[in-house]
Amino acid sequence: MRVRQWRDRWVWVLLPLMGVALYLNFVGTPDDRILGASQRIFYVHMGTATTAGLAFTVTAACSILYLVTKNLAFDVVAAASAEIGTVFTTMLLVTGVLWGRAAWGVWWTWDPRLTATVILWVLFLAYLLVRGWTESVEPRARLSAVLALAAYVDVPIDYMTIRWWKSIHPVVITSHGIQMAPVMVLAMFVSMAAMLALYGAWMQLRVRLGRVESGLDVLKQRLRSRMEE
Amino acid sequence: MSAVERMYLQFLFFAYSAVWVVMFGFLYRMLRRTRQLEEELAMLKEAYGPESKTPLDPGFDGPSM
Repeated sequence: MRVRQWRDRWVWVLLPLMGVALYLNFVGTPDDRILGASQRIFYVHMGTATTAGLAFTVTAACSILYLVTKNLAFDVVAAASAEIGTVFTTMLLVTGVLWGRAAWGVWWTWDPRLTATVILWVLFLAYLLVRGWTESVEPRARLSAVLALAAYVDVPIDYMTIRWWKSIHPVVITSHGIQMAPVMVLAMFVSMAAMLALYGAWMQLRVRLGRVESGLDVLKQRLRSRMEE
Repeated sequence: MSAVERMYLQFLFFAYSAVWVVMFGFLYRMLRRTRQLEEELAMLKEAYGPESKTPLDPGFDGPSM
C-alpha cells in the first residue's frame, strides 16, 4: 500500500522540475547574440528530441523482447512508449518550425534533418493506426513489433543526417563538446530532465492502464468460457 | 530587445507554461482514472475470478427500465 502511494505521488515531482525549467528558459539565461530571444525555443526543442529518441528506443527494445519471449507485457510497454514518443515528436516538429521561422526566415524547408523527422513521425503514426485497426492480441503484437523495428531504423538516420549530408540544421553536440555558453547548457539539461520526468510519469500511468486492459481481456475470456460450459 | 521581440518572448513564455500546465493536468486526470479502473478491475476479479462462485446467466440482457 505504501509503495502504491509513493508510486502515485511521484507525479508531483514534475511540478518543481517544470518550474525550474521555465525559470531557466526564460529568466535564468541571456538572449543569444545572433538569434536573440528565439534561442529559448531551442531548450524545449532539444528536450523533446531527446525524449522522443528515448521513447522510440524503448519501443524498439521492447519489440525485440516481445518477438523473442512472446510475453505480452513487452508489447504493452512498446505501445505505450510509441504513443508518448509520437506526441513528443509532434512537439519537436512544432518547436522546430517556430525556431526555423525565426532563424532561417522560412516555416519549412526540405532539409535532410527535417525530412527524416517527418518520416519518423509518419512511421510511428502508422504504427499506432495499425494497432488500432487490429483486434486480436497476438497477431497485433507480432505485426506491431515488426513495424516498430522497421520504423526505428529512421532514428539513428535522423540523428546522423546533419553529419552525413549538407544540412542547414545546426550541430550542437560535436566531438569538441557542446557549442554553447555554460548557463545555456544548464538550461538545456534541466529542460531535458523535466521532459524525461514527464515521459517517466506518463509511461508509468500508460503501462498501468495497459495492464488494466489486459486484465479485462483475461476476465472477458474467462467469462466467455464459463458461459459456454 | 525591441518591444515586438519582448511581446513574442512573452507569448512564448505563456505558450510554454500552458503546455506544461495542460500536460500536468492531463497526467493528474489520467492518474485518477487509472486508480479508479484498477479498483473496478479488482472488484470484477473478485466477483468473476477463478475462485468466484457468481452464477452467470447468458439470458440476462441488462437492467430493465
